[in-house]
Amino acid sequence: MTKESNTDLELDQHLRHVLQTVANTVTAEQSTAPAGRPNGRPDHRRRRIGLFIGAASIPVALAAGAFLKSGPEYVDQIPRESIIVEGSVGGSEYLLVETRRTACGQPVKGVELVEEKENLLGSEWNTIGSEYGERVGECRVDTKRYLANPALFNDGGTEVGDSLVWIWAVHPDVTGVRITTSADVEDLPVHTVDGAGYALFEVPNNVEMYTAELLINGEVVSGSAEVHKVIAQD
Amino acid sequence: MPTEKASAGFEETYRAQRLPLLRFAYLLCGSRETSEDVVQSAFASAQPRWDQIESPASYLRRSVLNLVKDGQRRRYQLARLVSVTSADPVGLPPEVDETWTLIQQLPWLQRAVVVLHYYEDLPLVEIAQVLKRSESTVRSDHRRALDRLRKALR
Repeated sequence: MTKESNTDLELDQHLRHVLQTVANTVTAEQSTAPAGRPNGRPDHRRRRIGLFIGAASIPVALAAGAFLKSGPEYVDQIPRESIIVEGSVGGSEYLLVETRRTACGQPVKGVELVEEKENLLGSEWNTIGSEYGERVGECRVDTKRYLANPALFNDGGTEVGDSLVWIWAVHPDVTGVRITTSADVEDLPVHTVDGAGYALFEVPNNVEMYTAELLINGEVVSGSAEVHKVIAQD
Repeated sequence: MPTEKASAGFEETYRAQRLPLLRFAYLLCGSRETSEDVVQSAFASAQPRWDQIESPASYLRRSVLNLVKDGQRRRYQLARLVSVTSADPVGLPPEVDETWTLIQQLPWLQRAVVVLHYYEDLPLVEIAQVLKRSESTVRSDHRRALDRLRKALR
């Protein structure tokens, strides 16, 4: 876009043109086809998470290990005391750590999932983070509405190695996340970080669908159930 | 229980509205997969009460908007330095691609206002009703979005 087009009218027309052009890239045929992999990771495993109620998987790379590191831009040492969970899934090591990020000059609350092979020493950070509450604008996360209702949570998933990992950011009263598959029921522990709870689920490769429910002292939190479908795309 | 007549209307609406809704959803969320999910969910939730819905197209649009909004709220809140690409790649002319990238980087409510105003052609007063926000807030979101886009495109 040129300087001359930066008048309100021209910006108006430009935005209409851009949105119409982008919308037209969605066709009836294309829309039913699996999308390409945006992050260029290998195609040897092609599954995705679809949630009935709209939470989308975010295919990104993460990782690290106790020997890896964290700085503002490049992978450096991760302090042992900040590690919440260490795991290995799908042939890849990962850590769930208390985040040390800052945004708008303030510390970010929550956790980060760090996959070792995507965060080798000296490389740029490539992690994903999870925080509790609703983001308001650029710099603020509002937890008021979430704290008033334990059924509200944030969740999302990512690929680690050859598998999927799903993380929940939940109300501080929540003590567990119950995972029900066709073959099993498992209660995930919740780890408290920055006044909220975080739980992590390594999705087994043979699971096609599971239900997640929040628990408070063993009782299911009403309205918290979410059905996840794992869809093979081979 | 949907009547036979209602069922016929549902199928007709599905055929006519599915693609426009997919496009609308895609502009709101930037993901074809999520667009498919929310449009299917919108139709699925509408079907049982189809014969009671007065304006199916408006109802479905609002439903899609709310489902995308739900998804946005529940998505990871990513740390600033995280390198994430959640949008699907599409081949676009550079000037379109640049602006589309900027639109996707807008805070969600500003993005919704831009899509509803410039794609759906809704006046700001109606957008306020759809988003359940005050008219002044929507005007502010609109102004901030344009300021941001104008500055970035300069």
